[in-house]
Amino acid sequence: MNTPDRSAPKRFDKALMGEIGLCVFLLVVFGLMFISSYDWEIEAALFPRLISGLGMGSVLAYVAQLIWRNFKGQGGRSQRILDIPWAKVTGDSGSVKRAAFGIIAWAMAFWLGIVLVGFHVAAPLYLYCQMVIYGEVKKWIAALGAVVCLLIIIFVYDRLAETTWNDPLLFDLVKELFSI
Amino acid sequence: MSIFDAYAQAASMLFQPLPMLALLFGVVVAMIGGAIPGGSLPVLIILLGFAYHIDPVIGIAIVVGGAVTNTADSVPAILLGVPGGATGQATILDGYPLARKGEASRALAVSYLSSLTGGLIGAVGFFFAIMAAKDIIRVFGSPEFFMLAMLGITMVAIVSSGAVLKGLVGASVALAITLIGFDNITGTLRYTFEIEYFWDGVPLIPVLVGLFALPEMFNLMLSGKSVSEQADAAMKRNKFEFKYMDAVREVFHHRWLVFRCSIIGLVVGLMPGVGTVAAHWLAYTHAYQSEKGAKETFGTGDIRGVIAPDAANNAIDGGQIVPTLAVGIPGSSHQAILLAFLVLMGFVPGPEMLNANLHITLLFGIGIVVANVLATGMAFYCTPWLARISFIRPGILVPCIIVVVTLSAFRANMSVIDLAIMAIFGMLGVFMKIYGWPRPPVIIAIVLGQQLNQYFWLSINAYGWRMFERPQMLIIMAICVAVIWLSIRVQRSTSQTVAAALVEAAAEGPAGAPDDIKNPCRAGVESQGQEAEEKGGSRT
Repeated sequence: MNTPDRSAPKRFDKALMGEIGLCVFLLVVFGLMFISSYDWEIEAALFPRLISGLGMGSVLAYVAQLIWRNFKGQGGRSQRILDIPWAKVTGDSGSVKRAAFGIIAWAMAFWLGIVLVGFHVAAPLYLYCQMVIYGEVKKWIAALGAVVCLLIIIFVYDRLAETTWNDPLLFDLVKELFSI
Repeated sequence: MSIFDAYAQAASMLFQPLPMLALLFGVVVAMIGGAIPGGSLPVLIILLGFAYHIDPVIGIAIVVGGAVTNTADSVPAILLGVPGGATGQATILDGYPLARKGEASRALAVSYLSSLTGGLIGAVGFFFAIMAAKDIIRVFGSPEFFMLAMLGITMVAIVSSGAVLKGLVGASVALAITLIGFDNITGTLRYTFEIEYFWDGVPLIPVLVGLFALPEMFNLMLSGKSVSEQADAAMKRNKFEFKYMDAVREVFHHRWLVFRCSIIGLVVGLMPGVGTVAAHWLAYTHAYQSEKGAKETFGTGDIRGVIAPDAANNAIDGGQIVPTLAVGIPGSSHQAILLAFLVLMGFVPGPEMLNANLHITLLFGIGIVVANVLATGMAFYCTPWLARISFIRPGILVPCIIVVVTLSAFRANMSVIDLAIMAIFGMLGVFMKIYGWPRPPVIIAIVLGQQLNQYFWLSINAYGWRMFERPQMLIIMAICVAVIWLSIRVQRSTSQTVAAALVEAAAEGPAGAPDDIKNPCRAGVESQGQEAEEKGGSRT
């Protein structure tokens, strides 16, 4: 039995494996798109088939390029892209990860809050908490910000733009409980 | 409608109290957005939420003010050394050292006036280019528009230089997303997973908010501390007292540099997909190579290093708006948002914008002129406030913007599924931003996908393979191939020259200068290390 080459796995770092994983996922999606287009008449199916073909072709070419570059030792070489670049974040990796997790968790909680209690409660509450925790402002300033947010929701989005709000799930639940 | 009638109609539409107020509002939004590092796109996207509900003239006035005035982008670039967005990166190299010397007012005043001159030259270029496009586009049929839309998508991917395949993959995914929903031609429901919400397709606004606004806010929040630390130092060093006549004299003294760099901005703008960043760096490197003594002084606080990119900064919009309106090929993220705005208001880019809606197209040109003048006037008087906006802690700013963009996304269909779509595309956007996948191809493909599908079907039905016998189509293909080739060459030569400029600036920095002046590849300019392809991928 051959001893595995310890240097080989190093060549496939986590980022590369992640990108290849994503490409495999995309290949499956494009493949399924292609297959399901056979249920439709040709007029509706032709363009989806072309797009899924283009998608599979470009994903396969990208995977080949990734692997080729990795073996040529150009894996870490950054590329110029037509976009706003990622601004450098200072600090050690652990604290950055914690901060990133915190930001994402708060945003998710806000959106979940909208589903559960609606915009009128979730938005001011989110703003208040964020301003106190991340903005490090005094509590009364944060409360003022939350009140302004509520007023904007009521007067701009509610009255002026006539937004139809979602029915908050929690309120519906409470109503049902009381009716029981 | 003759072109003169169209001018008269456009002017009479704009010079009314409400549209002028709307234009002013758009300029204010652009100024605030530009003053926030990474804030110009999210703030512009907030406006999208109202696109359905406003009068088209007022909507266009707002979006012209909001999308084509980059005057305030130099505020964070000069004061904090952090670019306001994709723009402002080259300005940092000399603007930030000037601010560190306590000459921020001088740098900002000269930057505003250069931007104004560039914007006006760009507007003149826009009028000439639109007149030329009007005659050319008359001979186009569906195969030509199909080819233009197709090349519009691939071109942006191709000019992503080292990330061509990433751009193509992104565009393919986006095109696949546009297939979701009810097919207008055959009435077939495609990829809806039996969810009624998807019958009308994936709404544009949650996708835009997710892809562009959320990743910028996430990045700003993560990198927030360094911004506020620099803000404290900048406030202590600089007092904002403008000497207007000195600034006018300084710009007039370098008038030929302003003119040349404005023309660079305009021409780069006319080439779809080359992008704003390339125009800035081309102008900067042009000044670096052509100006006397620039090799010794650039990178250490030379005012010409501020004039050159900022003259190109506003001139580029006059150029970029031509392919956006005439053929539906946006040249930057801002133009992609502008295109989305137009589509949401019911305008279709292409021949209609140059014939039946010519007055609307010219409204953009006149709007650019007025918006630039308004923006410069406001920039002079509002710089202390703009500076304060750029100094607001991300911990305060980001939640406010997240709340507003969430409201904008929700208003697309008034459904919580909008929020889920926004969150999914937000995650995708963050991934793309971190791993260097270009986002503009995705958004361009989403905006142009329906059009592509429609022109494809029309071309196949009406012409079949004969469409490749049409000389105008072959000419477009040849022109597009030439533009792609030229774009790639421009990108590569810019990257090489920037690399040389950065290396020299780093090596020849003044003795005793802080490291961040000696080495301009810092903070927001770190990205230019990517441009120069000098640095490894040490992204945190």
